[in-house]
Amino acid sequence: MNEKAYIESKPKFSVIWIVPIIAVLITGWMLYQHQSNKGHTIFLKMDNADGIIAGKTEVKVRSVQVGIVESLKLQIEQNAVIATIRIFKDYDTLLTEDAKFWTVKPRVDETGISGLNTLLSGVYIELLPGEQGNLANLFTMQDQPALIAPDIEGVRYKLKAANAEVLDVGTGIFFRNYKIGQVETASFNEKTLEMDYGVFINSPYDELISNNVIFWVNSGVEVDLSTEGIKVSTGSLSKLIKGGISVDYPPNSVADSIAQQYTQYKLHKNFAVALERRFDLFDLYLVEFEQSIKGLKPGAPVEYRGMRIGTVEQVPAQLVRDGQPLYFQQNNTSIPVLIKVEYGRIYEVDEQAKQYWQGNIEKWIENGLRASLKSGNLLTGAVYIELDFYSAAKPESIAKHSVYPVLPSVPSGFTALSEQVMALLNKLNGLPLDAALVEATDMLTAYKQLGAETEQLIKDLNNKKVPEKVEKNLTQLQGTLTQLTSSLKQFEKTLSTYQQGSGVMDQLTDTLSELESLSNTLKPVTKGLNEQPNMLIFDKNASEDPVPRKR
Amino acid sequence: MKSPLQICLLAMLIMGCSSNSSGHKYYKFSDQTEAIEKQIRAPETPIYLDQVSILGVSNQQAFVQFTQPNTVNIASFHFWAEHPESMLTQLTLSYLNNRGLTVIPRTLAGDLNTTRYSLKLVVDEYAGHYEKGAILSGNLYFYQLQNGNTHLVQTKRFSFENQLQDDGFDALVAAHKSNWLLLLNDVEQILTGQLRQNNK
Repeated sequence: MNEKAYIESKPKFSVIWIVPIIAVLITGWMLYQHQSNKGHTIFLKMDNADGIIAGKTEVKVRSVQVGIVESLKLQIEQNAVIATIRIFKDYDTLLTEDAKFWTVKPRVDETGISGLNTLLSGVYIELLPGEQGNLANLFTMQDQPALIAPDIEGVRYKLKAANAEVLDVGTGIFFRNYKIGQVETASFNEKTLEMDYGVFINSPYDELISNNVIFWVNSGVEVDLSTEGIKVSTGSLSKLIKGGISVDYPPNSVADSIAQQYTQYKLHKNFAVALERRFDLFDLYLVEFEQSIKGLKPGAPVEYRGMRIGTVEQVPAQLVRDGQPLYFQQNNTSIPVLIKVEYGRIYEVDEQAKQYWQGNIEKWIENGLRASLKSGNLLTGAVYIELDFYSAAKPESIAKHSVYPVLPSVPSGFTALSEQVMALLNKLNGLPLDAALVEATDMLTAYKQLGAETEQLIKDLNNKKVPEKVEKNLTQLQGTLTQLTSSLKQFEKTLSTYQQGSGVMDQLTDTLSELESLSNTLKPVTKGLNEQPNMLIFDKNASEDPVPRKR
Repeated sequence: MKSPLQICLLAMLIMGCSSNSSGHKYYKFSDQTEAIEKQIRAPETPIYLDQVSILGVSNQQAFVQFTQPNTVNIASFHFWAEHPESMLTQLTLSYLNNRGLTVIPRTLAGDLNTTRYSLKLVVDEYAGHYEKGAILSGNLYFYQLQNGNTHLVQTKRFSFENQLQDDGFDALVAAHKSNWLLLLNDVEQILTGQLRQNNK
């Protein structure tokens, strides 16, 4: 029996291997699916992780969840927290370099109250998708929400402010009280010492921004003080609280060509200051005041009978010649003030106004045109310069000894009143009282002498009875009487200056009457102020007067 | 961001400016020459009239009222349009001139050495009264001026009260005016009598 073992070779690949292979494939497919569904992992750097919880805090775009915070890690050396965020699949394209993240949480600021819904749900991270640049995976959390989304159309401009109020990012830009944009950036330039603002004007209102527009800070409250009283008007509540920037064309002007993006404008302190630039044709004059100029500040108006014609430039005028102030050299006690006569204020065609002014100013001065200080505001004590004609003013002309022509001035207010009182007192002091007393004393002495001589004469007559001596004594007596009569006339003349109807008495009586009238007028005011010191600002709190009743 | 102080000041300004106006009212006697019967007399010696003097609390433009026996109210919202001393002097002047007397304000007097007469009215009560309506009392003084010297010729105490015809300040003004016209009627008779006596 040929029996030979037959060795059947095993199949090289067992069917059973299909099972693990399939398992591996399925696992691989699952891993792939997991990885592909996992999305994109980014890192977000923030100052602190206030309210953010790993595994819970969501990342949203327009309230749609696009990711979740996976972990938080403290970076001590950078004083920061790094959050690892997973952005879901299909949202990777949002993560370009200009994408912005900020935390949405309850906020209370001048724009209102926002984020109240996060009180219960917890904070979340808002993502403002980027539009430009490469994809990135490291971002920085912003402190404040982004103001303007990249998809909003508009044009950006620059504003520079030297003296205007400092405004916040988000402050509205208003064209005739309609909001057309907002302040996007605000920074202080430490080199120019000016505030630099970047503003964004929403489309299509950017077409309103022409090259000749003016920007000014609008406080939101407009106070109109006229003879009809005080009228206060305000804009919207947000404008009232937050203020705003107004933009418009200058009065009597129309829009120029539309401005290019990033055109730079000057932000003026207020509307009045914004219009100042129109008055660029002016002449400088000096006014020398022989009184206190307290309350007069640069920028105060110069008016002619209530019409503004210029502006105070320097108080006091800092004019230097040969290294020292000009008024040191003039050896006088007056205080010089430099003013601008702005011809654009006198008439719209400023060249014509200048010609008119310069052709007549000398004649006006000869006719009594003088500058004086007037009180502009009783509460603040601010004063301004008023030009008017004073018929009693001493004749003067424009002095040209200085750098600028000098307009003559007259004292005003309390200074003028005190000068009048001083003049009256000086007049009283100047009366010849001493001389009158001396004359009266001389007269009495003469009487005494006369009495003695008469007595002597009578004695002589009685004793000696000499006619020639009588005649001599009579002659002496006649001379004495003549001297006495002269003295009496002088005394009578002196007294007549005090009589009723005399100039001194009339002036004194008028002054006292005016003072009494002023005192009567001020009595109710002083009574009110005594009862309620703040009545100048607030209404009287006094109760109604009792009504007289018929019985 | 605006500071809270600025917002408070702004609110105070708006509150102060937006509240109701205080409602001050000013009063004056009605046409002074109406209801005064005009009289023509022969020219007589001119009389100088001194400004009426008001003594005490009524010497002010605010209305004064006795609201209780010992309580005086000085009005905060109701005023004479001018000081009552000036107003009463004007009324006296126009009344006496209408009645044919030659009366010249003392402040416009010229020569005091010539013989003249002078009238002085001194008021010590001029107010509203919770029971009596409007009250007026005081003294009149009639002087003769001669050679620069002043001689008191006659003095008399006067006192008037007049119930209001209606409620309100207008009625009080009318009552005050009636009181003063009653006084002027007495004054006219005194002056006429004195002048007649001196001319004899």
